Amino acid sequence: MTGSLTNPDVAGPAPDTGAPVLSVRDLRVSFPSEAGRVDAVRGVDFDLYPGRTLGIVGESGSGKSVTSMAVMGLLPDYAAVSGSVTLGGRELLGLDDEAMSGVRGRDMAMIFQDPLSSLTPIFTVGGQIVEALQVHQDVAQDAAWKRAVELLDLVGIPRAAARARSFPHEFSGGMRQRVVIAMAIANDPRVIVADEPTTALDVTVQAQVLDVLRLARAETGAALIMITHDLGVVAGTADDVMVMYAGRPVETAPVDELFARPRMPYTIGLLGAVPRVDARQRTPLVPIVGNPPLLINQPPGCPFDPRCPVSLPECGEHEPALLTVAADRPDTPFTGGDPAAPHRAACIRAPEIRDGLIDGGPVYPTPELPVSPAAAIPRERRAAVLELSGLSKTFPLLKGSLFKRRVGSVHAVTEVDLDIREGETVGLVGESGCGKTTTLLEIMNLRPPERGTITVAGVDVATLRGRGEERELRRRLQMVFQDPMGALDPRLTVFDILAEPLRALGGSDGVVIGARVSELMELVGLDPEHTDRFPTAFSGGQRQRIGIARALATSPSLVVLDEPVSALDVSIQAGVINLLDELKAKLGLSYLFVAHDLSVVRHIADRVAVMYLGRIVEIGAVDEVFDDPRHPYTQALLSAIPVPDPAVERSRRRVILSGDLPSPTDDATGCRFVSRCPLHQTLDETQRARCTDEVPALTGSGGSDQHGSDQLNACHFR
Amino acid sequence: MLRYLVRKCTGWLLMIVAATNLTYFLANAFLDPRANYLQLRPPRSPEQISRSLAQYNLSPDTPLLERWWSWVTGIVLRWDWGASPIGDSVNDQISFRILVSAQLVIGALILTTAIGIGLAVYTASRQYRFADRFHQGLSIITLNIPIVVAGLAVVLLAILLNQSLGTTLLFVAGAQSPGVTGFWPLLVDRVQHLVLPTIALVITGYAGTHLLQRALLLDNINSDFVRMARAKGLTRRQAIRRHGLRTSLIPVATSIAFAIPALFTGAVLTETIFAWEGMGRYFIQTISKNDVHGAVAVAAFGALMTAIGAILADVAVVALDPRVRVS
Repeated sequence: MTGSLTNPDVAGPAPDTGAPVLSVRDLRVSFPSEAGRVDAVRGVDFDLYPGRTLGIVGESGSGKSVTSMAVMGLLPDYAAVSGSVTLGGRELLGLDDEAMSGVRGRDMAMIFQDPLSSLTPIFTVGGQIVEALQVHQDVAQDAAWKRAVELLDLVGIPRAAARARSFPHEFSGGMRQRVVIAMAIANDPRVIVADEPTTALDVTVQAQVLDVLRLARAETGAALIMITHDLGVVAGTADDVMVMYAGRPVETAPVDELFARPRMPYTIGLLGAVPRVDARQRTPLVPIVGNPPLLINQPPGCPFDPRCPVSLPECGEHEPALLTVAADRPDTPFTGGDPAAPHRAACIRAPEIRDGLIDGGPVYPTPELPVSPAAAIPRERRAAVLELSGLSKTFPLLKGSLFKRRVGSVHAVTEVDLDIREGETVGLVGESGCGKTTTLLEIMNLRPPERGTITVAGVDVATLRGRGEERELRRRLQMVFQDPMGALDPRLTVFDILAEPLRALGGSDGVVIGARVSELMELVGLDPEHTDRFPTAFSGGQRQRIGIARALATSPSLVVLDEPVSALDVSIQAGVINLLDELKAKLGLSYLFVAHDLSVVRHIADRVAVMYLGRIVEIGAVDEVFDDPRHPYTQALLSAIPVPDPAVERSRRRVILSGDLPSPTDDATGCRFVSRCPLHQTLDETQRARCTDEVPALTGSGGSDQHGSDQLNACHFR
Repeated sequence: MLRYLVRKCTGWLLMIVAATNLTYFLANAFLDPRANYLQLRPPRSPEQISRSLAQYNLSPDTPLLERWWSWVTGIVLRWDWGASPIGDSVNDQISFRILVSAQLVIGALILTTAIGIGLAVYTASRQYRFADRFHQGLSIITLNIPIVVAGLAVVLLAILLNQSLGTTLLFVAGAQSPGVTGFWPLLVDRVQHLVLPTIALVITGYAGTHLLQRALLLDNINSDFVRMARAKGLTRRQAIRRHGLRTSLIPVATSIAFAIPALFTGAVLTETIFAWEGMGRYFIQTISKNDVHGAVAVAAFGALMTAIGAILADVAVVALDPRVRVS
């Protein structure tokens, strides 16, 4: 399967010669803007050694992507770039486009974030790889095509010779990212820059692509710059880490050192704000208050000062330099023993911070974990706010230009049973295309479904008569959307946005509505004085709070949350998750929480349902499912999630699924997971036949030792 | 591909037949050829008028369906599109005028497209620099110049040029001079006549293509795949040309193909200013002179041009975008 990537010049990974392959010194980038000069990157230094991976971590606007684009020479002309970027001793800054194009693709290759848009739609993937080869090498068309097929085979494209003639739209996102990687390694580059290479992908596909990236790096011996906001990805891939904030590195260290002994309050905050999929104990997340600075007319002093919980008056005077910090304990050997990669932090209090603690106490005040009063009552005795029974939804597949005829069906949701009790959060998880959103939309529709029943707050939606009854039920059921920018009408003030649901339900008393709006603003932690502002005046996290306030306006009993935090940066995300936790406890809400980020689900949900191709394959209490997943799909899904801990990442065994999510068009008999199932491979002939012929029912594990467990899974053999 | 084209052509043929017949009935309802005879001195009696019209199949005394039937059979059997109320053959007029219009329009169309797209590539790669802003401003100005103003200005300048040269280098009226014979002299003469109207049409026409193509190209220049092409090692210019331009040409090609029918019958003012006897003027003349058969023939020609434009657009899309599988 694995093709050879032999090039006479390069045989295997280059030995560590001790000299950095890429050196960046005092890199500064600024852009003109209407509000003034934006200093996007303000002095970045790093050395990249052959064969090593440097992870650059930061939130949006921290300058990590701009740094990589500056190194590649891909910034627009109006960007002012200064400093020095040397590749193998050759200065790259100041080279013109023509000279740079000789370096790009040959010595330095880049992988972009969005695989769906980074391939030219009108050329075949093979042709695009051939182009990459022929730009730099004098190879004939036939030889180049043969090599392109080899490369596609190497990155794991099945039937590479045939698929090379396909166009990008015929590939899935993960497959397209493999093509981009093949293109990046086509000329055996010395440096590969990967800018959020897996952010747009599902976790199981992310695990595959990270594997391919590791393979590609091993084959070429290139040094890798891994830019990401995901601390888990960094922990699993990087050797050294650079944390960026407001256009500057604020902490650099070898990966183990950084995760074990962060010295800069921002790094500590980032680590504390990420929910962990392997967290047994439920501890509240620690949000970083405030928002990142705008990088226009920066005041003097540390840019993190306004958000820092341990800031001193001196912090506002000078921006601290990035200095080497002494090892935490003099008696233990310095873990970052590589003198080329010392632990450096830009904080005047770094010497006081040891093991992530300052003066023996936590850097960030730990918020209290609110406990829902409903949690005291056993689940079975609580009333159900939502019950789905046998819910199914199909979409017709039509063909023909003038007269559409039905040629098949997409089985988006098939026989889903789910119930949510009072004061409970149920997480619905699965990869894109698994039917999560369709399930939500079917619930929000408040119409009798195609098959099955939907019961909201004890009322079967099929029995609703007239708009009045529907509106009454609608009051009990509200929704929060994924994109906080798109979900709020930009031409309504926040007051109007929050008053709209109240008016829609018949409220007309201006004083009552005004009081309720103020109450809602306070409830979600916003200043009631700001209700006359438009949504654009708020940051992403604040907008999502407004979206939550709008959902709460009608005092619902169930709030449906569709990926409510996936568009937010981690430090902001933690605040919104804590808010949801708090509201649940305070108002006795139930949540149906749809997310693809399983760490968030583990943190917030009480129960979790895992969906695959329209069916629930496993359901149960969140800790049981996460600690002891039974269904092979759940096992694969959980093992694919990167954990922000390099030691754990190294020791974990991954179940990597092959292939992509198949399309749910034909309702094949048997288990829908069978084409990708790792367990199926190990079974004997008769057992396999059962997998392909019989639809597995959602049943409890036979002879469960945990009494009272209602963990169910849909696998014949688990 | 061939089957696809045959199917497309059949569809358009049916469309042309339907549109032409519909126009025939509409023209008969709104145009009254008798009016042409009312002005004649000595005045004719209605019987005389009807008799004169009857020989051209235009008499209102003959039932409409009967007239229609002889009109249709005339076209189908003899390719005879009828005659005007005063007896001029429509066939003669049209065949001569199509050639005149084609001379005027095709040259202008090619130049407009080439200049528009070329300028778009040039300015889009220099977004917000002086050249871009200058050409954008210029295009917005020329886009708003009425063809009459442009035409007269060109005429005025040409007259000045001719005067200063002391000889007629560029003719300001007509499609050709009478009495010129021989291939080369005729060609030179034609070009001398063609230059000015073409310049007028190009001045007022290129800006639309330029601005549309520039906007589409800019979308693509800043796209991920052009950046990816640069990251592969293509220079900025190569990446724009190979990856950005071709993708953004598709909608422009479609819009140009569909502009062809409008150009053929819509160049009325240009034809009037430069005294060219083209299709545009003929269209106006037929309507004002109650020439039912002439107007219907122009409509049929317009429908044919639309069909050709649409098929050209399809062909352009298939040629530019290999993803489109013809089936």
